[in-house]
Amino acid sequence: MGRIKKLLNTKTFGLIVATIVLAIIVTALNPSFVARGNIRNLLNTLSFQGVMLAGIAILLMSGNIDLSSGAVAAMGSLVFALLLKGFPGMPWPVALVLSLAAGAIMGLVNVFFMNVVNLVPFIVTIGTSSIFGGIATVITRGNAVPVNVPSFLNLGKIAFFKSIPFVFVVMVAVVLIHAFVLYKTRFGRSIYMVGGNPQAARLCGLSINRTRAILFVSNGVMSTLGGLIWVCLRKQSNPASFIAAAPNMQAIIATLLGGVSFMGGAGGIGGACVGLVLLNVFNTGLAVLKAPAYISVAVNGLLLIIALIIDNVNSMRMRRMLMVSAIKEGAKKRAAS
Amino acid sequence: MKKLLAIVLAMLMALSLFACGGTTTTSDPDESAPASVAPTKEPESEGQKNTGKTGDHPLDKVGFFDPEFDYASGPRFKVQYMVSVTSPLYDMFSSAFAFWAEKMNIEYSPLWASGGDNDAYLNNLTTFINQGVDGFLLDPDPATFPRIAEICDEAGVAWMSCMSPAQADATQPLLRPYVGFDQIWFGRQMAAKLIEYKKTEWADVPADEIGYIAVDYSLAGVLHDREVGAEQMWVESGESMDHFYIADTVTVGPTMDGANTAVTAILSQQPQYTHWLVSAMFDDAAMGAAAALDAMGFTDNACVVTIGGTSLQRQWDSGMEDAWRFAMFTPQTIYAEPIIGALYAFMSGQATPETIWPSWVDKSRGDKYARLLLPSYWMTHENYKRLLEWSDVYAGADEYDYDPTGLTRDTFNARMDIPESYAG
Repeated sequence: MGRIKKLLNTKTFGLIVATIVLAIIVTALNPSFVARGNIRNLLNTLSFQGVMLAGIAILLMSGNIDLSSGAVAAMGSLVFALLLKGFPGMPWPVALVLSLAAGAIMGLVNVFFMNVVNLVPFIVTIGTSSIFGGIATVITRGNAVPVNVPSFLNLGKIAFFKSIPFVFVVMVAVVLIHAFVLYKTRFGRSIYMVGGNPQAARLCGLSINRTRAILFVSNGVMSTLGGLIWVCLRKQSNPASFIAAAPNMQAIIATLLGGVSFMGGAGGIGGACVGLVLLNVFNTGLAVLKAPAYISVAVNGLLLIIALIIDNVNSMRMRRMLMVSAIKEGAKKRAAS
Repeated sequence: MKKLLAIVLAMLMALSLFACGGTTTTSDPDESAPASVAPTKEPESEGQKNTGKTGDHPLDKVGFFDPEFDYASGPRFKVQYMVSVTSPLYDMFSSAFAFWAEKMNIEYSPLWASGGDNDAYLNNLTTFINQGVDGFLLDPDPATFPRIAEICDEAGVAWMSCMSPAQADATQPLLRPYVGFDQIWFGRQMAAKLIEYKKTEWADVPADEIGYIAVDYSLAGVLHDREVGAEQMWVESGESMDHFYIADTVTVGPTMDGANTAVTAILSQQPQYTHWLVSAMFDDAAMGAAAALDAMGFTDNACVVTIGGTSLQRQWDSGMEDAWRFAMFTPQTIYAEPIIGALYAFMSGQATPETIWPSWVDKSRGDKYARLLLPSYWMTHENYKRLLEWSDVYAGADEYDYDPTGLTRDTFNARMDIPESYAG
């Protein structure tokens, strides 16, 4: 009973309720919202955004941020498309591995500027976002690079029970793996410590730079994987179009909405995923209901503000709790002496 | 507090959804839209008529590359291309300008972008003038055109606008000749092409099983005009507006994903249709629509058309074919030629902005300057290689690598007939 009460009292539960309520409202206004086509499109979108969210959420928990994820995904998927185009005999799994390696290298570029040159992640990743995105645009001149490998593209067509895309299952697997690492391993626990109190983490013998390096390289790989899922669904690499869609920004907003702290050290992957579902249910609902443009633009901005308010409130609450705890501890020691 | 915020969040989102209003399944013609410019008397759906009525005045021939003219014997003019923000489209334009500049003995400086800063744009315009630039190709924020005209006229330098007409907004007069397209005509052509496809390929399919989706971005007038034109042609052709739907991407974004979501929503909402006709405002929207149709199993029973076609060519070259079957295409070299050609004419004294292309002055609008309309061609899977290779033959370029056998400069018409409405 205690566990149920604890579950009901979490913000994640509140988000789940909000998502369900929204879905019910949209369906009541337009029942076609739950038609197979819309649900499948929603799950497809969640597939590539969710993979990117897994890496981004853990980075945020560690007190870092990667604004270059979208550009990394675009560039990594472009590598995949160009390899298949330039080497027609290359098996696509080989091209996939090489493009994931390219994503890891781009993550390492970020790590270099942060760990070696000692620049702030926020600024570094804004810069590398322009660099990677610019290189991709120069190579493609804004055009798409079609990918015509049936065995790869068929992965985007497979759907279990005719509605659950295979790529969605891939995303779920990626999220579960990240959740396992976060909650069940020492490294995962160290992520919270590094994000919550870097100085204490350092005093405990944890290497901030090493943790950051692992997470940014991992995020580079996850971003590229997200980009590859997009390629599988759209049958092309199109950096300009992908960057314009900004799935990484959706992932960041969803992560903050889901309770992951912008300052690091708090939050969970479950909440972030629910936040992503909520955002996509909302955006799909707007499309189904043919909402006026200003509503979407205004509410998306409002969602970001609310997410930051939630994060701020959580941070203040944590600080208050720590202060109260410290005062009580001090009072106990005085009483004892 | 957490629960309160979650409730507030849900209420805000729910309220915004309720504000969407009723769920009409058909689109209503937008009665409140500003009256579009009276469409020119457009040609048939196979493309524009090119019967040689391109202007008989001597100054109608000026402003195009003349292979017989010795450009090297004249002065070498300096030309600068300036844009407000960079984009792949401007980059393509710049490459085309560079190509023609080399043929016309012009010292061409590639595109300079102000990053959206109008002050920087105008300041650098003055700087370039002081550095001795003789002529400008300009794609600024349209609101700055009047100030640009003042600066250039004061300095006595030539200039031409590129993609946008040189006017602060559509209600203002042109400040320089315009080379481009009639967007409503584009929309009409797309709808005409789809209606023709329907009659040819789906003659046995009942009319109430065929739906039409116009993928739109209503916030951008230029793109929205294409939907307006499509709707006009659909109605004029006797088709029912009950089967006409607008997938407006303002809510989801004018991207491939946005078009995919918007079109999927309509396909899901209207399960009674077995066949779909789709006109999209540009390549990305066409790809998104084709992806949505493919996901819903409509590929063989759908036809998507758009304005553009660069991505379609790449798709076909890679062996891919889907519901996207046609594109109305204008080679970049054909587009760029008269723009930089007119600029050369101004700089060399062959013509002035007021005298060039006199037959192309639209008297029905009371224009002072010419509006030269460019030819566009329906690109199909059968003709795309010849069409693209012809653009290389016409310009003497080497952009494409298809078989040029049998192609001459006249294989396709590089000029468009002057619309009859221009006579006033």
